[in-house]
Amino acid sequence: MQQIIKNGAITDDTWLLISVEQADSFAPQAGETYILPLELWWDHAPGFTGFTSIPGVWIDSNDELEPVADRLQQAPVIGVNFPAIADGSGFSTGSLLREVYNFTGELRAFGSLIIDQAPYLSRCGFNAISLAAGQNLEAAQQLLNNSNQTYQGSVHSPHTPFKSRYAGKQ
Amino acid sequence: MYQYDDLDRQVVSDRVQQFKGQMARYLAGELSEEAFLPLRLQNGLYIQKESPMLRIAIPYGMISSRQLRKLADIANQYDRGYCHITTRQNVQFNWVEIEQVPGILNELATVDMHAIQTSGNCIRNTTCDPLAGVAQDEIADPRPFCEIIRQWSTLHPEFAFLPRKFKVAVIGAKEDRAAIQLHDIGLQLIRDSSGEIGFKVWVGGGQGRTPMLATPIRNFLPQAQLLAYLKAILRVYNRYGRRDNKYKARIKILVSALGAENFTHQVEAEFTRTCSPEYLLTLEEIEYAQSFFTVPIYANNNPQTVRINQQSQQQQTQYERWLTRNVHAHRIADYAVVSLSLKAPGQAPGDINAAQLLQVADLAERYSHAEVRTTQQQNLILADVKKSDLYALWTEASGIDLAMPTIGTLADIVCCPGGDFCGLANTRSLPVSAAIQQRFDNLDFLYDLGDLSLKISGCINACAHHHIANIGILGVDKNGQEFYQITLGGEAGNTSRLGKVLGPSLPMDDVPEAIARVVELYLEERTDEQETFSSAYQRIGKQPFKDKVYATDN
Repeated sequence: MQQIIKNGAITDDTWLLISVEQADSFAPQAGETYILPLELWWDHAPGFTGFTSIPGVWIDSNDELEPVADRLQQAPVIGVNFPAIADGSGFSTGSLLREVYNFTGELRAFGSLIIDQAPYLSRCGFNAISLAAGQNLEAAQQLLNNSNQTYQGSVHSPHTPFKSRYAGKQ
Repeated sequence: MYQYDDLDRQVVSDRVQQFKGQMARYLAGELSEEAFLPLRLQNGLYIQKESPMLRIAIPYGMISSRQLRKLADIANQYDRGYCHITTRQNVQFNWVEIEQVPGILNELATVDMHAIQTSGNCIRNTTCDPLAGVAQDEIADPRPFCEIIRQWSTLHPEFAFLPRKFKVAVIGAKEDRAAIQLHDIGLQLIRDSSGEIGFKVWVGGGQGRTPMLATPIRNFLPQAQLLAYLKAILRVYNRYGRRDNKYKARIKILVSALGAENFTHQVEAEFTRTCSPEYLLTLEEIEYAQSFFTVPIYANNNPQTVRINQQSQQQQTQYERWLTRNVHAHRIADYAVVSLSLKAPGQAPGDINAAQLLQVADLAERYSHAEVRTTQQQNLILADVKKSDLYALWTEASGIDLAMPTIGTLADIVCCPGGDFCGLANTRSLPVSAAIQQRFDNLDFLYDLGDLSLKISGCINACAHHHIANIGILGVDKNGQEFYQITLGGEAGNTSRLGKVLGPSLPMDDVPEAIARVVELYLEERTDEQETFSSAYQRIGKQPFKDKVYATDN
């Protein structure tokens, strides 16, 4: 079973990712939990008939959040796809989901991600990270645990660079 | 100058450790080429033709004498005894060994320097007016805001993997000496009618294959909202900027694709919905940033009392030339701003050797509060020199080949390292620069021409900023042959303008003659000495220049 880092811990992942290519032939099986491409998810929402539990939603880098944002709250998991190491649009997608749409469920980053990106992901509000195959999860976990103070804080607790550094210094 | 505190040091040392680990994983084969690429670029490391290149950040061009000495050490220990000042005010080492880079970063950290985000698709070094704080036409010092932007943009979690590189420039004076309209974001400090300080915001400038001037999208942004607004711009760009084509990935393409009005609307909407108090700068924190850039205590000095003994007529002439070209007005009457030229004949523009670095550190300590600035023109500046020290400074600078009295003239050539070093270049630029410099070695002739900018880029990436040169030269590869395209009429500053291609590109050997014909025509055609090259070009147009350059002699 594939493993992910969730809330700082390495855990087994039970969610089945359904890709756009698999969407046409997709039929929910009893007892399974799914993460579906946005369009497919939307087609089944809000009733999700035939599903054992409400599926999560897969957001691609070219998906628009604004038209679907209200209903996304219903999803237990939002998975944001990072199609390439260098494609960082998902960092903004994640930040927006937390900052503007107040999404409080599991926010998962998945795709072509390497351990070095884990601290950035966490600071953008992702509490679950599914790294590319072959990445060392313990190393990623260590990076997350060792994260020091930063100039920006995180999406949950943002601050300007000098905030709390100037007091008493002048 | 800004002084690091514990947080700054921790950020830099964490980064050094992190990069050391990444390098080890790469060398051990645990990190693929594809994965290592963005990581090494964000630490300034390029793999080039002869040897890797390491680019060091000089935040908004400010460097201390202590840091200069460290650069000299690194040049001697890890490079071939010199380094190169870039057109974005940074420093490059062209001959480092890849395995030694973590060690170099360690050395840099001991003097509060780093190579973070000097390359890669992220927010790069913020550039600035080299006369910040001493300019006569300044409304507010841009450097405290540059420092705030430096920190905010350093390892920003959301904007480390942008569609393409992202460059910000800030000015606080009326005259634009930082080419803000050629940056992804240009910021100009202004006062509104009530006297409040804020910024005029420009977006979407850039050079490269599709040069564009930036568009103003906000006429007045209160200073407190600076970072919240930058974040809104970057977020719109990060979500909607193109990633499918490297040449269409800069924000300028997004702005022009959406149209300035639509783009502005999206930025403003993003700004409105995310501008919460945590993102606003407080007055205390702005004042804290400003406290590092206070006005030095200027001593009274009387230039009249300086006695220049036994000076020969020839020396006198040279000194006066230097005063005219290399010494600039300071807002305090008894002080001057001095350019140290890195354009001595036979030297690659912007190169400086270790001995010179050490001597500049000495000069800075003796004459200019131990601080030096790098410029987009690839020279150095001592910003706070007593007028009574000018002669002594000139004597010493002459002794180390840094007093070439050609600042702002045709011989003050801006040039990228080109095909001799750079992996991106497809032609050499340095031999062209050398040939032109050789051709125009007559100072009287250069002075007669007056202010005239000439910039040479070895490829379409336009690192030398040839698009905004009065005379621009771009190297192009034609079936493995080096050719050079000439553009005329470009201008930097408040009247920024992109140069226009003159005609078919020329082989390297023909370039100096072509430039000679261009300036000859300018001298013939200008109405008087006051008419600049750019004005004359606008007035008479391209055709006469084209006729002259491409005329065949029978």
